Amino acid sequence: MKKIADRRGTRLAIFLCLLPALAIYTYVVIVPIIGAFRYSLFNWSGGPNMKYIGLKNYQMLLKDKNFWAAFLNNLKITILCVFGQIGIAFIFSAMLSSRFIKLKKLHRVVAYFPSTISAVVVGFAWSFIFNYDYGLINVILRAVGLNDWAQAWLNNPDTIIGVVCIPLIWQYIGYYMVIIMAAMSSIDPSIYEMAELDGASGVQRALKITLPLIKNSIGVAVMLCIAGNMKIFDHIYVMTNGGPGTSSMVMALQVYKTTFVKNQFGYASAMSIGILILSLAIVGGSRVLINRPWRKERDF
Amino acid sequence: MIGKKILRVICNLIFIIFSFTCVFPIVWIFYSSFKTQAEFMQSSVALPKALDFSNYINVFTSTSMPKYMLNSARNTLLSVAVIIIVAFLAGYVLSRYKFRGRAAIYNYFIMGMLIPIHALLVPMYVQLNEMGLTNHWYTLLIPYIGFGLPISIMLIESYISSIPGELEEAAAIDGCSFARTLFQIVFPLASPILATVAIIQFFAVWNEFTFALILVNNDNLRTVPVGLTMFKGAYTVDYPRMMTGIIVTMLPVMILYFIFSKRIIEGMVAGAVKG
Amino acid sequence: MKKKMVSMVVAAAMITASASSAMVQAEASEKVTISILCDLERANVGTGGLDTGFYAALDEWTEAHPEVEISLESMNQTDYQTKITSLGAANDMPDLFMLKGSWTKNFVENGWIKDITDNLDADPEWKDGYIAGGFDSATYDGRIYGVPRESLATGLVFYNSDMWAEIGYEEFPSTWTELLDAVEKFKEAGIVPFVMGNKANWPAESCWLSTLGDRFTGSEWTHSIINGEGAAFTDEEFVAALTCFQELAEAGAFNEDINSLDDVEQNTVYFNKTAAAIVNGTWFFATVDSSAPDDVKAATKLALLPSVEGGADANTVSGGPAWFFSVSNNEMDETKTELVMDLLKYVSDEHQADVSASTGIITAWANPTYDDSNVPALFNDYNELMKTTTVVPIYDATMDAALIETMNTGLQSLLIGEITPEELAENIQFEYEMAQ
Repeated sequence: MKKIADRRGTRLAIFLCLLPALAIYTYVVIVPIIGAFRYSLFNWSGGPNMKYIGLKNYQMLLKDKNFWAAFLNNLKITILCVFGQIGIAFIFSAMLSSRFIKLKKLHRVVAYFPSTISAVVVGFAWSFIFNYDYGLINVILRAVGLNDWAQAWLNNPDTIIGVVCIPLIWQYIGYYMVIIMAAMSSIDPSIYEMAELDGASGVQRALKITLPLIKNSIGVAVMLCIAGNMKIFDHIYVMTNGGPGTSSMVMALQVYKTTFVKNQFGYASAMSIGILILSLAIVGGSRVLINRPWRKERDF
Repeated sequence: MIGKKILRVICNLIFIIFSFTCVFPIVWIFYSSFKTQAEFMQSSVALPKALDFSNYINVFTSTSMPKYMLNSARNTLLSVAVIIIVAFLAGYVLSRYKFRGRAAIYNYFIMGMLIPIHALLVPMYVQLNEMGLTNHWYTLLIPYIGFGLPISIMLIESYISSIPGELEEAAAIDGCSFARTLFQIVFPLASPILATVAIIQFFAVWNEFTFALILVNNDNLRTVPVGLTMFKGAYTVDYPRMMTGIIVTMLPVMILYFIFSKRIIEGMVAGAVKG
Repeated sequence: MKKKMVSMVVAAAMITASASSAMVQAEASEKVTISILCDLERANVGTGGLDTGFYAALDEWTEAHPEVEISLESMNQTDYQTKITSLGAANDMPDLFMLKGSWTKNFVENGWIKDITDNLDADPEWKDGYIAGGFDSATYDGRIYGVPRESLATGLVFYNSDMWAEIGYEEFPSTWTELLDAVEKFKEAGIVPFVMGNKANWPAESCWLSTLGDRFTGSEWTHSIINGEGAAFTDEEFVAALTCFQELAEAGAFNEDINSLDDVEQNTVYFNKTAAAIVNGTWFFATVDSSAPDDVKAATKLALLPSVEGGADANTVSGGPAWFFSVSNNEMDETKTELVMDLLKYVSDEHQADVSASTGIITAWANPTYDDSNVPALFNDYNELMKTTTVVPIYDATMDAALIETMNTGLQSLLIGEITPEELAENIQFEYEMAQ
């Protein structure tokens, strides 16, 4: 059902309903973005002396190796998390919908729990789990005699991105499970019954029936996942501070450091606008792969 | 057949291990908070030898944590309430009415989810400060509500799209006013998704750190996450004491979660985006 | 002395308790409000030396000035940096705040900070009360913008003499060759020679390189860099220092998790006797005194980094005031200006210094009066050591902040062999030229 706003009264009602959200959101999110764009045209170190330099900051940004390395890290994290978070969440949800898993209710309640904890606490707990001397992982490895496997987990630049993704994936599996299970619950059970009669295995059912039917929800989940990981900050800040060197540096952390450590406000603002554009591009790109995370008139 | 059975056992095992890891960090932080620093350094995983409450007494008597908790509670409750109402109104008309610019408005809101808040910290602070909006009891509500709207509107819009509109039509025929239809008929129907939004925003606001650090300059307005940074001493970390701080700040949230866990998950499952 | 401490702790507790009612009365009075932002925490009174001294002075002053309402906000150093920068950008600086030496240029150019040269000149007793060169890092274009709050030394070697004796070193090595030999012996014994927690990425530069660099370059080079007089980071001597540092790491002198351990966790590794030494700053005296196990405390001795072959004077340590008390350029009427300047003096002169010194803080105030029977043992050792030691600049207290950030992240990579000394030197030089 879709009502068409024809009468003046209805139009007024629509306007009044949208007004508070539009006003607050514009004031809090959009006006500062415009502000950031304005700053990005200046050479500004925070004080009253702002020097207009046009698009120079953007020219510099295009050539900034560190920024693009950070962007690449964001991309890697995003890809790992899309497959890790949503992939595992899909497998777990499919398993939870089968008959042979016990304690389903408990698993559901507990799986969502980590996503209620603040990123800072998660980062703190995992720094500890990864700790070389008394971290859980190394303690267990040493206890079972795998001394050689014990290592300084957050110290190897070649594997650091993978390592920081473990807590990230772990924390949000439950979040995406909830979205996926919701979508699954709307599938007509008779479809499965027929498939079962045809002798389809559990894996086949999940891939051939469930997945296509919940494609749209997966699309939304992917968009949430991309949005979250393109702006990821707290976990990285707490666990590695971007290190060793710049091997786990991400864009948001670089904006933070450029602003508050280097005091290059103008350049940091150009970076912020860069992040926004890149994120929009990637979300747009993902829309080509999985349709409809963004809506068009005809989708309604 | 035996292969299948083994597979089932393995699947169950995987789930049990996963669920265990989900609660373990908090359980570990919890029991570690009863240890002494020396005990903790000897073995970080062992259970405490005795229940030592001194860390808890310390947190409640020598810090302003109770005050910070009240501030956090006020911010959280008010932000969540406003987000629910404002996002409900916007989500409803976006899902039920066809008008020019609707898709544009929807996408305009969704764009807000793509911006890292650190990128906007300085412009936002400058803007709020110029209008004299910093350092009030309501200061933090402004960004919390603003940044909470996009995902809330997205969830509410897609949920209302998925429920049939017959009841509303019937109400309209009975001559029910727009406002009454909205609040007496649609609002209860949408309650599962509103509960979901409330839960997501509750945790987001309760845990928020950066705005709370920058936008208020008064100890009387501090929130829990900012207060927690005090537990990291300048030159040593007393881990058990820091963990006590974490537990104290998370406790209200954890209790709420486990009391309402059933409802939370049901709300999430019912409310999450349908295809 | 003890009595003073007790009364301070009681005062601290009372103020915490009354803070909750402060909100109610704030509106009623017509007091002069002075806002303060600092990285000293009241919760650390009694354990942190400077925190203790600062709050003691502040509380005394507040009591003597009932017409003043102090609005103080405190937080840890990292958050402080974020906050003060935001406040500056919004032109909303607190009246009294902390200035890091490396921020001076930027803060002055942005007009955030008050020129206090004339106030100091008008009060010679105050100005001359500080150690020589005390105002250096807060001076720009010959004008003074901050009063030093303490005098640090960052590059001191703290070593467990029992552990070093076990591998045959009764004294800390005095040459680099001996040091490498000791590293080899510790490795064979399965002990970490030096622990470094470089996660926050400043210890490698502030504690190690500031002094190690000086072994190669000498302090003339450093001053030339600071004043922009021709020296470059790509100069042979500096590259040699970086190379030496990298070789030390390659030889296994440091812990495995050098880049993921933080600067507080590193202390624990030393206290556990997992590591035989740590290079740290003067602030570590009080930490050893209050937190180290008795045997480690008794065995801990002080030394300087050894000399290098063909290098400069080896009797140096990086140090000097790194942080300052400063007043903002906010518009104030005459009464308030007078009050703020008075408070500035009170928290930076003997009223603060005497208390701080008694806890083992190296004050910038030249001759604090305190009872030396209660200070940490290492504090007295330090005073002895400094009689023959010259202080050279701490890099991050004197050089441009953007350059330091590049150096700090680069050192993390250097120490795990991800980047060559030459590459790092070039990167730092690039940032240096950008800032000039």
